[in-house]
This record gives sequence, structure tokens and C-alpha cells, in this order.
Amino acid sequence: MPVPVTGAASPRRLIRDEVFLRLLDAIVDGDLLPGEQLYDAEIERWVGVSRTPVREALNQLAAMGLVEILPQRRTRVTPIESRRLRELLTTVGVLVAGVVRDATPLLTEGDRETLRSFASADASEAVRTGLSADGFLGVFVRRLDNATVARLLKRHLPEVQRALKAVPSSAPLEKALPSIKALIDAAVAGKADKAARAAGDLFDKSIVSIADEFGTPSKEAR
Amino acid sequence: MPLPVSDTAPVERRLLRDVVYNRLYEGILDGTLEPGETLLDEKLTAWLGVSRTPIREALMKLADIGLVEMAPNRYTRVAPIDLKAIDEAIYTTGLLHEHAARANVPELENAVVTRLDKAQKEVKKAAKARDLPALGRAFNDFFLELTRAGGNDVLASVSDGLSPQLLRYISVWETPFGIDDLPGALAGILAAAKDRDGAKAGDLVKELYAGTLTQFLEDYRRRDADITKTPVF
Repeated sequence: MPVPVTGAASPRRLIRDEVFLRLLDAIVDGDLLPGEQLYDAEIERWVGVSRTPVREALNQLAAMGLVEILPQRRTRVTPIESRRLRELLTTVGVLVAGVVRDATPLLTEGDRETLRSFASADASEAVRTGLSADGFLGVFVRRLDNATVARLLKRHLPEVQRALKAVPSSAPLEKALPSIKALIDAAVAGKADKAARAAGDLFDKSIVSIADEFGTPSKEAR
Repeated sequence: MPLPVSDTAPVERRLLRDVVYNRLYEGILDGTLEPGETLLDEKLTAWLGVSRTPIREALMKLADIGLVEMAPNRYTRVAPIDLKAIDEAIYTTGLLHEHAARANVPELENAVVTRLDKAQKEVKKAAKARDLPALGRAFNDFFLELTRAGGNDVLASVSDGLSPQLLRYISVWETPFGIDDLPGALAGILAAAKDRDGAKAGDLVKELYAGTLTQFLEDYRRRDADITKTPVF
């Protein structure tokens, strides 16, 4: 459950959030590579803040599965590992399909208009944007208004986004485009179950196969 | 949510943190620590006899699953009972449990079926005795078994992270599940599990949780104007 952030945020909180967002973007975009070691001192210098907000931000990223912290040993960007990725995509897919099913009857005319406007030639971008607050997913999550589902998706989508960005071949994402179109068409037509099935297919039949493009961790790497 | 390596903290510190976490977790769920109660570091260090660090770590973990609220420099307290948050969490749990039923029931091992059977009997016993904490635990165990059977650690841990809300809900007990309906509902799911009928089990789980969405739409979902003003996502 989100901690209420009513009232003015403390300066410390703002600094931590700033560090957090900088690191989050760098990890999701691949500027910090999977498996890369992270040194507190370097981050402190890079962002220009002290150790405490850096540790807090790293803890937050660790809770999202993006950073691994071995106390007294090392901190690194979590490597992308095929099994975990498959499990993550299945889990996120279940939540997305549920949200699509239950938000479809609630869509407003404005939402349907927005959904119709989503079209992209580039498969990788279409999937990445689609599965974000700016894409079709955002329309459904906002309209359902379930803050708990929203929080879980916010927490787990960055790990999905990072894999979508890092995937070496866009072939699995090409396969995703028809499912996205089917999902949007069904939702706009008010067919909730059909839209949910398309959301399920989007994950189970296309996106999940990106997990095959990543390896399993070697003993040495752990 | 657990990291693959989250349990590699030095043993002593990890144990302390886990001990503190478990004490606080139990204390919150059984009502020793009351909803809304302020948690002061000094009082907790005195009560539990450990230093500040494991307590802060445990509190952060509890904040993560919604049992504690932390506002930096303002307060740390037991999260008040929030029926909306509970309803939302149970709805979300329902999505995961329905998937677990559909995906895992067809391949269920006999040992898992035996444990489901045991949990269902516990639910029945606890419902009859009106023992709500026991009922909550047994209900939770039933779905924990079903969820873990598929070997998807991410799904199981997301579902686990929501279960305290389910347990708290049972402590305040309002609709949408009736105490007397639960044993029967779980008996139906168990029968489908014994037949390895994933579709049937999934439909029954969906039906069991359907009330949470209805209640959310009736009581908790905001008006479209407010949704636009302060979106959740």
C-alpha cells in the first residue's frame, strides 16, 4: 500500500527520489548494463548526493528486482535471467488481462478515442509504449482505479521494460502487434472477455518468448 | 518482492531482521499492535531487545506489504484498517489465484491435493467454531498451496505480498465472502482439483472472488472526474 505523501515532501525524500529516478532510467534504458557492478562512491559523485539517499534508492530498486545487494560484498544491476523473466511476464500478463477485462466496461468515449489513436509502425516501440502509463495499458489501469493493481504494475513493469529494450531480436515483438490490435479493437467494441483473451495472448504467445533470448545464469555469475 | 539473492545478508543480521519482522507481522495481524498505532523506534528496540538497524529494515519490509506506513520525519505507524485497500488487494489476489487454478490444477501432484484437502477441512472447522484467525490462516494456506504448485516464484511472491491484506480482512469480516459460504466454495475448488479440471477450478475461483469487484465498483471506485484529476497510474 502506498505510504500517503500528503503535505510537503521532505527535502531528503526529494533527493532520494531524484537518485532513484536517475538510476531507474539508466537501468531500464540499458545505460547501466545487466550484471554491472554499482559502487556507492561512483553514484554519489555522478548524482552529487550523499551515501544515505543512494542506499535508500538502491534498496528501493532492489525491491523492484532491478538491483541485487549483497551486504559487505557487492551491489550490481540484476542480470536478465530467462526463468525469472518468464515468471515475471506471466505474472504481469495475468494482472494486465484482469485489468483489461474489468476496465473495458468502464471505458469512456474519450478512452476509446485514445485507444483508437494508438498505432505504431515499430513493433518494439509499440509494445514498450503500449505497456506503460502512456500506452493502452495506462488507459485501462487508470479507468479501473484500483490503486493496488496500479502499484504492483508500477513496481514490476520497469523490469519488463528493461527486457523489452534489451532483447536482441525484435521477432517476438513483431508477433505482439496483432494481439495489441485485437485487444484494442475488442475493448473499443466493449467486448471485455475478448479483449482480456487478446491481452493474455499478448503475453503468453508473443512477449513471453523474449525470455528465450536471454540465458540462464552460470554458477560463477551468482 | 524477493530478489533472487535477497537472503544473502550476513546470517546474524538477517536472522535478527527476520525475527523482528515476524514478531511485528504477527503482532499486527493478531491485533496486539493496533491499527493506526504509532511505532517508535525506541519502544521497539526496548520491546524486542535489538538495535535500530534490524528494526528499520523490518519496518521497511512491512511498509512494502502495506502493514506499516512510514512518512519520513513524521511518523511510522501500523497501517489503519483500510477497507478500500483490502478490497483492492483481494481483487488482485483473485486474479492471481484464478490463474494459478487454471494453470496448476491440471498437473497437480497428489501431495498438493492432500494438503489442499487438509486446508479445506481446517477452513470448515474454523468456520464452524467462528475462529476467524484460524479461518484466515487456513484459507490463506489453501491458496498458497495452489499458487506455489506451479513453480512460478514471482507469481507466488506477489500473491504472498497481498495475503496480509486478506488476513486483515478476515479480522474485520465484512462482505463479500460469507463465513459459511467459504467451506463449500473451497470444497468445490478442491473437487475440481481432484479431477485435475483446471477450467472448472478457475471458474470457481473467479466466482469466489467476483464479489470484490462488485463491491469495489459500488463502494470504492471514484467518479470519472476524480479519476482524471488524480489518476492511480
